[in-house]
Amino acid sequence: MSRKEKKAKKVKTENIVDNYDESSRVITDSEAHRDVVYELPSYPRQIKECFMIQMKRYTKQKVMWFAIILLLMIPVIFYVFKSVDTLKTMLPVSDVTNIYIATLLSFMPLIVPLLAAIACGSMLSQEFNERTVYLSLPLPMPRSAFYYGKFLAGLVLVEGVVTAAYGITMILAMTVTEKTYTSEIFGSMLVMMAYTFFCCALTYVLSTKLKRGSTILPFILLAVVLPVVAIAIAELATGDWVAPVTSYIPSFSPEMSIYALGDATPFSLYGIFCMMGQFKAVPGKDTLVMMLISLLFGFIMLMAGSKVIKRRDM
Amino acid sequence: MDNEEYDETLSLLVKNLTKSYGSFTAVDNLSMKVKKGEFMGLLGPNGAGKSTTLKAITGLLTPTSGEIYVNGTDARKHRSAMRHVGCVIETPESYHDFTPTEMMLYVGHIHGLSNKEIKIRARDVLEEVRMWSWRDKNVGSFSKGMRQRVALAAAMLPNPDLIILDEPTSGLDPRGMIEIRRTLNELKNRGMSLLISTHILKEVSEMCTSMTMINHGKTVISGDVNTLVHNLAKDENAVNIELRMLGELTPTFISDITAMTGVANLERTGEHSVKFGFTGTDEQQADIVDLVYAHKLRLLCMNESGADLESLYMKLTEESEVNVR
Repeated sequence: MSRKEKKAKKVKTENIVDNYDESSRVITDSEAHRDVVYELPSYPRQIKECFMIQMKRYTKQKVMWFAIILLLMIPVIFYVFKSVDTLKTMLPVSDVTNIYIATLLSFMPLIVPLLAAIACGSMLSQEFNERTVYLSLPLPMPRSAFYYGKFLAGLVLVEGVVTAAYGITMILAMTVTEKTYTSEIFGSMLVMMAYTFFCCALTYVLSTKLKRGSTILPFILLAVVLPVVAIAIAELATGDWVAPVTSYIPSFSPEMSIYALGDATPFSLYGIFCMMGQFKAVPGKDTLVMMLISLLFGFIMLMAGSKVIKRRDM
Repeated sequence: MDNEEYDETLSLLVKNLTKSYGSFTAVDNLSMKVKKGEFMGLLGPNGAGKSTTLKAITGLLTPTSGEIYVNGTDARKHRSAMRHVGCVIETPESYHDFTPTEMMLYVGHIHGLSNKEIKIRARDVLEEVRMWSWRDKNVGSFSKGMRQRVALAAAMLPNPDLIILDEPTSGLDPRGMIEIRRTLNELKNRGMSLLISTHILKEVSEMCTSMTMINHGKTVISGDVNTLVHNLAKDENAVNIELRMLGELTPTFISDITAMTGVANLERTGEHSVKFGFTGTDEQQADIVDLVYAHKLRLLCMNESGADLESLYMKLTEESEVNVR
């Protein structure tokens, strides 16, 4: 929380001094259901409740507005390029819709890590800092229900934005072109969604360890550090089998997702390096393999985070 | 029922609880029992291990060793045991952008209450803590006392058998303290059990039926509050009794009462009252009352003073400090 927010919160809190509802109502134990014993809900339902509470929190936070603004940027960019004659040539307006979509989505390699970092990067550490865990963790549910429920909320939010971005782009592209290659778009979207899962899992796991929530740290890790490491490994790799393996490092997922659509330059560190010169490091071509690897890495991290949260003392 | 020592009168059983951080032991082999309907105060100086104990019981900390049973169920193995427990640890910061109603929905759903049930229970508990008219305002705009009361309401929502509170009145204004105590006394009338950690001795003497005092993570003393204070008074020869009666205090009565076992330093404090030091047993104290009636006097008031929880607390903390050294 920023200093400004803290100050605002303090002022807001000080506005209301202790107030008491003076009205009184006398009701019997049975009227107030004071003698009722309740059955605990199942584990999946408890996960769902944690998911719902986090989703509700998102609706009251800036992250939701940020996601909506990002999605609105797509039609804005589209219509700006379309209306200005000199800029028209910058968009590959052809009847190959996929390239068109790829161009409009070329910023996704940066947006996905950023959104994942905002939505998941400080979710748990914020709970620890603000001591809201003291309300949730003594409740009769396993810590894993709390952990997975909150993660699912972050994942659904970011995946929702990714899916919506693909949908909006496809609709816009279809207004200027006639032909689409559905299977390629679908493949590209699945790879991007798997990468989103990987990003959310990584940023979420970081928030189990970090004392203070951070958006910048996981974003830099995802958008700069991991791609640099992946490119370096792929560049330095020798041997016939090593290069193909390194091309499936999850950091290459967003580039692969864009390349699967057509010949657009992804707006990422890899894309910038590619514009500067030739690379040995090339993202893999098999979307299913890339998707599975991203999911696998994401699951491993999520499991590791679950163990951390289970042992963590509050 | 997975514990041999469990008996059905127990709400909470803690056995040999230990929590260590490296070489530092915050809670050292601590055991305690809270019976059903019992209000137990957990007393101790700062850093004694009170909060660590409560956090371990509620699952916020993982104990190094020891066993915790709630209504006979091992709470370390089965989180479902916590369905019988409502707790307020420190001042839990509720989600600032949530209203008390939304908080109740969250806690209620986790406990398995339906929306209809939550509506009924939320009204009851929010009225109980005098927050009903604030139900749709954001918790972030509340004072500390109001947030504390919302947290208490959330703890009471699922009708728990045991409520665990960690310094519930710390930082509250006098009215806030009185309101919390009033609410807790209501719970006592309903037969709920309470484990409360506090610095405020008045709270223990006013609300609790029993107490456990800890220092340096170890139990110093545990038992019924009145018995402990009374025993201290006996040890220290510290009880002063004042009698106020209706009728004439004759010289015979004064000499008879002076001759009673355990009575010393008798003095008249008014036309119808006397005061004296007393070191006798409960039976001998009852004999004094009989003597009053034997002299055809009517007893208006028998006031016992001189030994209180404060004296006991000071004595025990000093002793435990000496033992540690």
